Amino acid sequence: MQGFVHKIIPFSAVDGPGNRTAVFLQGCNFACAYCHNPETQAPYDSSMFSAGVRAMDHRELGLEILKYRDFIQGVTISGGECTLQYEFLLELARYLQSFGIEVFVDTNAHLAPAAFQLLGRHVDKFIIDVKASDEGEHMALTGVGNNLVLANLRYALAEKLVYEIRTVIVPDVLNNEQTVATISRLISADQQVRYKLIRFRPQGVIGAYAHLPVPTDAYMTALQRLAQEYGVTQCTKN
Amino acid sequence: MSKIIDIVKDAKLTYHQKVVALARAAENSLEVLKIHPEVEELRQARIICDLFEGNAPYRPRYVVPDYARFMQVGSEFLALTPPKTLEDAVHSLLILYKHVPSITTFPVYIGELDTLLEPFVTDDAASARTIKHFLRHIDRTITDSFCHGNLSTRDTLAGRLLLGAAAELQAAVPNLTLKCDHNTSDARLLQAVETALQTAKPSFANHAMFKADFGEDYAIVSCYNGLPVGGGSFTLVRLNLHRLSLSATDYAQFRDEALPRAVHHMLLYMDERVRFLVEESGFFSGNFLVAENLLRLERFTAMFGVVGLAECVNYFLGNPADKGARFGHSEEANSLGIEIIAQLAALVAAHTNPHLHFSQGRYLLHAQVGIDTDKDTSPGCRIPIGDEPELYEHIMQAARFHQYFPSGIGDVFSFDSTVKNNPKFVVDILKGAFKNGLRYFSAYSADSDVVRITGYLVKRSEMAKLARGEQVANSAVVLGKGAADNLGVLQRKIRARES
Repeated sequence: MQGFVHKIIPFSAVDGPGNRTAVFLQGCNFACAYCHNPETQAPYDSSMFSAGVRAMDHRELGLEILKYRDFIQGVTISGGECTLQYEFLLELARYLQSFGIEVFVDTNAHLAPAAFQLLGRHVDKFIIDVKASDEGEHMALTGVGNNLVLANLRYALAEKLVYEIRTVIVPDVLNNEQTVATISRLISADQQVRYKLIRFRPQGVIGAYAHLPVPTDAYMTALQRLAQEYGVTQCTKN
Repeated sequence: MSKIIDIVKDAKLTYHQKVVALARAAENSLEVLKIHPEVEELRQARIICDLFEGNAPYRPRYVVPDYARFMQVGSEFLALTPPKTLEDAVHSLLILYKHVPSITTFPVYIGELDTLLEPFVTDDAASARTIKHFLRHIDRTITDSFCHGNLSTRDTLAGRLLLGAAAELQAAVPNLTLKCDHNTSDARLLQAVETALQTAKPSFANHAMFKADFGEDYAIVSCYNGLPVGGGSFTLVRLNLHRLSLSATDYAQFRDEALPRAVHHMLLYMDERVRFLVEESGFFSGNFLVAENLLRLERFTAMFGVVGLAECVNYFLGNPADKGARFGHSEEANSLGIEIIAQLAALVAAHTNPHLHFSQGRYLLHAQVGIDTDKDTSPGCRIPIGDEPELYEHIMQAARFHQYFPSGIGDVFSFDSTVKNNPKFVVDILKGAFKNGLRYFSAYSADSDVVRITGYLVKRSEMAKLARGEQVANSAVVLGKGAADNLGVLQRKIRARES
């Protein structure tokens, strides 16, 4: 099974617990206004080879990752949006798990629930990005609604398949308080789930959001406190 | 005598630093060693360097007392009985430390601290306070960064208290090493890594590798030198491969003539230093540590040091402008490095000296960390700062060299401060490195005040003080500042997420 790989980071400290090889698949189904690596949004086909995208067989990619197995706790497959290359993702996850490698999938969870649930049987944990809890706001920010995202998030939480949820904080434009409160309420039943609040940064952003300010420390701390008030014990900010 | 008056009047030296400098000047006024003219030529060319050991060796360079025996039997010379309480234990050790000789006057090894103190600690605030005072006392009185304590592979309460106190104190002294093997728990590794990211210590020793070379009774002393407990190393002299390469006409001449000749003369020079120390200085007949069996002649060896492999290899490859063709990156360069070190190891192993009892007459190879005045000469077999590859490639490259250096080699990695949120990142890398043959691993956070210079620790804030012309108690700060200025040791590649 062939996939289109944007980048492989052999050792990463920021894509889940311990040291992880992070694999970024090409292509995204969202067009987030704050995306800081929009080059990963472009299509996943041979037109992207000139931009460094590689076409790889899942075994070839798997073997490259296995080179690092003495050094890593696991692998995190991310994007773009890795579930766009669903069949490849599933094959890669199965292949890695057959060698006992822990597999995390970092996703926006915007896919059919049946497909998400099947994937859930072949990964150890999900890292899920929730952009906004309000449907209209989500549509304005990403170009699509959030029904699937929230449905899949609820399923994954119920099945204890979530390692971490991430939300990018953009002051003035998004109703950050509402999203943080909604997600925190969902998480609070499971003390193991982490909630990471990511400070919007304009580096790499193109378009309308490029000139927005970075959230202040005080604002990030207030949102972190809000999450804690709703019962999230592991809320971090960067 | 102008040098003596300069020492007396030097405003940057503390009282104790003046005393040491005056003693060194007195020793160096002697010419008691029989030095072959060709050795002297190599010394003058700074191809061979005895690293300021002095002209009349009257104590071994690295003394590694058997502290476990001291705790069992006490000391007649010091009128100390075996300790019964934690207070007794720490005071006995602090007393003994002040009587352990070295070329700096300060002990380079202070024991496997958690093993020594474990029988006496209890899980309470009183033990924690005593341990903290113990470490602070060491930092403020053993004012030299080459003082090194060890922690055992086992999960000990004393180890937890020592790591906790080290994190709190943020002191440069003592240097610490955690011995690690498959028995070392993840909890202990995590606490040690968290501590290292706060205060640049402990470092981590691959216990299985050291055990294979020395047996169970070894210690990590000074920077990262593996040596037998109850003995040590008579001397350490180093060979500068970079300077030697510059003197050779080409690689074939280096391999066939220059290197064998330099090694031969350096071994003769080391033999002469060992001879004077063992046969003439009186150390082994007079010192109470020997008389009381805390040191035994048969537990001594000596260390053959080497620096500048990277620059030597790059020189013979024509100093390629493309980083990808240089040492640390290209297979050709790395293989040439291995070829040189394997040849060196064979040359050194072919020579014997009957005084090197512990190592069957052989000198042990040591990848020396450099001196403050070194320029364009990287420590041991390290990849030059600025040329470092990504972590995986870096570790796999370095590990190829570590098997050759029982008496010490190691790499230092600087991590982004965000790694403090995920210390297991470093634990995972450490385990992988040891599984793949790395002997010794050091880590610190890029924002730490205590930083690892090459093998020893210094505080950035104290280097700044020295730069302002103020006195600092720790005599290694001046060395750290020199290495920061000349080798850019504060500019190491910062690791967190690597592509």
